[in-house]
Amino acid sequence: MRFLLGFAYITLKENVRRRSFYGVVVVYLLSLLFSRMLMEFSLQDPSKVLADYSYSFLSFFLFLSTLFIATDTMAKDIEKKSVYLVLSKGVTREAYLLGRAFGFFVFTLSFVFVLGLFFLLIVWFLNEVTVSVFRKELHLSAGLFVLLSLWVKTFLLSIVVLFFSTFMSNFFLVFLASVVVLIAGSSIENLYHFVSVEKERVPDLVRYTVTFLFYVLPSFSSPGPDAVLGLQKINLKYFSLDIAKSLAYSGFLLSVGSLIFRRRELA
Amino acid sequence: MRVWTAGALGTILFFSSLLLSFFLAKEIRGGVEERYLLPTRMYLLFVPRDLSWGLSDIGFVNTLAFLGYSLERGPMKRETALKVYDALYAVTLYNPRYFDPYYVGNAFLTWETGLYREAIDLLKRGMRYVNDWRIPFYIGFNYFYFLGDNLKGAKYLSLAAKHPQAREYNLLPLLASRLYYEEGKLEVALALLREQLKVMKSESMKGAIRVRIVTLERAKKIYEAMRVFERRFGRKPRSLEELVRAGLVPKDIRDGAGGRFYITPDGKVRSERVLFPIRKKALEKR
Repeated sequence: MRFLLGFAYITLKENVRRRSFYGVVVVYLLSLLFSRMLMEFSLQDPSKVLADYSYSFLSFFLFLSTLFIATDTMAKDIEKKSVYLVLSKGVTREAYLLGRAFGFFVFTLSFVFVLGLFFLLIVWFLNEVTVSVFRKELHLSAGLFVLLSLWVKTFLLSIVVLFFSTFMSNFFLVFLASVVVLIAGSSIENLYHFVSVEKERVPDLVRYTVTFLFYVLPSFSSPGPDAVLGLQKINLKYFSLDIAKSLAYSGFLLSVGSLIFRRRELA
Repeated sequence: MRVWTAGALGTILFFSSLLLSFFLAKEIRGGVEERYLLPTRMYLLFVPRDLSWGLSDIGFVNTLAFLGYSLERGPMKRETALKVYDALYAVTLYNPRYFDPYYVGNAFLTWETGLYREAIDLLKRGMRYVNDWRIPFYIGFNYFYFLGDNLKGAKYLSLAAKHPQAREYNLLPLLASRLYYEEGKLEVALALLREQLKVMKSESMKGAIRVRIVTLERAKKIYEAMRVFERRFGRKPRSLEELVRAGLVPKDIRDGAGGRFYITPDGKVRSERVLFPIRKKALEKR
């Protein structure tokens, strides 16, 4: 446990020290201001537009930054041979992977906490100053559920990167493979919804393929801004199942990754 | 020397890109291309779920821009209007709780292009997701005003009237009850008004509802009297006076606002002040 905590501390420290971390926070704040401008395009529902854009930006920045940071961390470890330093201290390869995973677990938590806090604060404030007819009630508890979901998903993404890093040495390849999984995992819910609704119009082969991918791929979707605005109740059963699937998927990738990493030739 | 060459080349290329942008801007202003502006279901289908919130909003803004450009150039063709409907449908498919597409869809598809069924279809999707009394109101209005279907109109208007946000708009139950009355559903009209009376807070609005209830109750009595008259005399009564002479209704029967009742040639009960008073003159001409 001490080892895991130590690893988490190192991962958090090395990532929080990055200038890009602060850059992302600043750019996200600017994008929130941009969302305020986009509110003006709404005719009757400015709060919804504000929440939609802020949320899409939040999710975009979280996933993209996690992708870059996790890929870079693993690439640096392997390319700069710092992994040897850890392994030479008697730490097994499985423990190294587990430590890194725990480190990402803590780092993604802090990342989601910082950006998510800005998201909730700005949406709450701008919603409060909107004309009362258009104002919506902000549901903080639902907002926390949404952030929890985002945290688990960003953690899952970092595990996907970790998994690819166990057998790919090239930074670009790991990044590309993770992007493909992220896009596929983010769109699969839409596609599955579509083939379920339009059963008659979709060829059987497409339907089966999408259904298969829905089961096999990790999902990167979260409850979304409607839950934060109280427009949609969070389906607790679906939410719990989704979180459980993401955690199980992370565990599965970690297990397979550790098996691969064990046999990997590092020299 | 190399620096100067690179600088000169860079400057030339920069100004060339500005010039190209100028021509591009001219092209964009020159033509309204629906393929650039209108989102489609397929376009949003492959967008990651979390990004589809913002992107569907952008799709809606593009649709608005397209509408603005197109309507400036005169009436829109039916095929183009159907593409706008598809775009709004796509936006609401991925962002169903966003009110604006329903609002614009209702205004544009009905008044501008006559796509009433499509507008209703879009609004019915909205009713499932958006908790706003205006959506059933728009559906009800489209049914009775554009499609002449009073019964369906009344059904949706009464749904709008029952919405907690609409409790202070007495127009809705009054309109819905009138449509129900037109379709001979007096009991439904009365039930709706009595229900509204219980939830309304404003005394002045309650007053208007009470007047309508009294009128409908008396109109109901007249209808019952007309049925008795028909059974007794083997024909329909020609006027209210015949019912009075037969002793089936009191002589001084009035609507809730003190106006007289009439029986129209097609056998409907109207009143001077509350039930379709505008038709009184036409009735008198006959």
